[in-house]
Amino acid sequence: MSVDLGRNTIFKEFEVLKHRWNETESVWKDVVRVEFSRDKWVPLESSVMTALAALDRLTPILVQVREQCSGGSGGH
Amino acid sequence: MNPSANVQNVDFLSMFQMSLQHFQEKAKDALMNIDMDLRRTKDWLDDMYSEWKAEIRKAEDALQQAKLELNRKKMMKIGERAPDTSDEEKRVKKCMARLEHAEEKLERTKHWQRSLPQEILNYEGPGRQLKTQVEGVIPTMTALLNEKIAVLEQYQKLG
Repeated sequence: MSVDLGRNTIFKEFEVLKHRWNETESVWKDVVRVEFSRDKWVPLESSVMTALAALDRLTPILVQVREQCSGGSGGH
Repeated sequence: MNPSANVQNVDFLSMFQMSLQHFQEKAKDALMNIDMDLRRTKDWLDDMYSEWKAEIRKAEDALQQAKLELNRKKMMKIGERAPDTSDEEKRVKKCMARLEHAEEKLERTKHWQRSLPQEILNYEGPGRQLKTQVEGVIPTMTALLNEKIAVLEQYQKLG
């Protein structure tokens, strides 16, 4: 199922990116970093988290749809 | 010291920038695949609706046939003894179960045809927001990092 796969890809890749950001943040100590963090990183992180939460709600529903409507083969 | 050059290790910035680009590619593909899968699921539900309708028609025909065979057998008396209709009764029951199953599946399919679009809509807002970040904001982040790295490299050369 691509939704599940897509969700896992976004989660996994963002974990890697977050790790890189934490490393970068620890050595980048000026006002540009503060602005970058506030204006770019925080909104990005927030939208990733919101999308992941929405996908976490949707994924079991899709499993249910496939189970309940298929002819026994488990869906498409 | 120039405040914009206050980064101890330019490599960290470069690695972060590369990771950002990598994330952009992966997230873009993932979001596209998610959208495609959601569209496919809606289409699949429409296909299942047609399939279960057809299955109900077949199951009704089979049940009608089974009932006819049962009645025919009941009338085939051998002397005073009632004929054994257990096989025909079993067949009627089986056909009834098949019909009930198909009707139940059709009801579930109709239910999800009504409800799934709303569930998908609940995802689409956050999904679109992430898409905007990935396609619109990340390029501005990488451009900004590019500038920063260039300035730092220049600064290092001077130092």
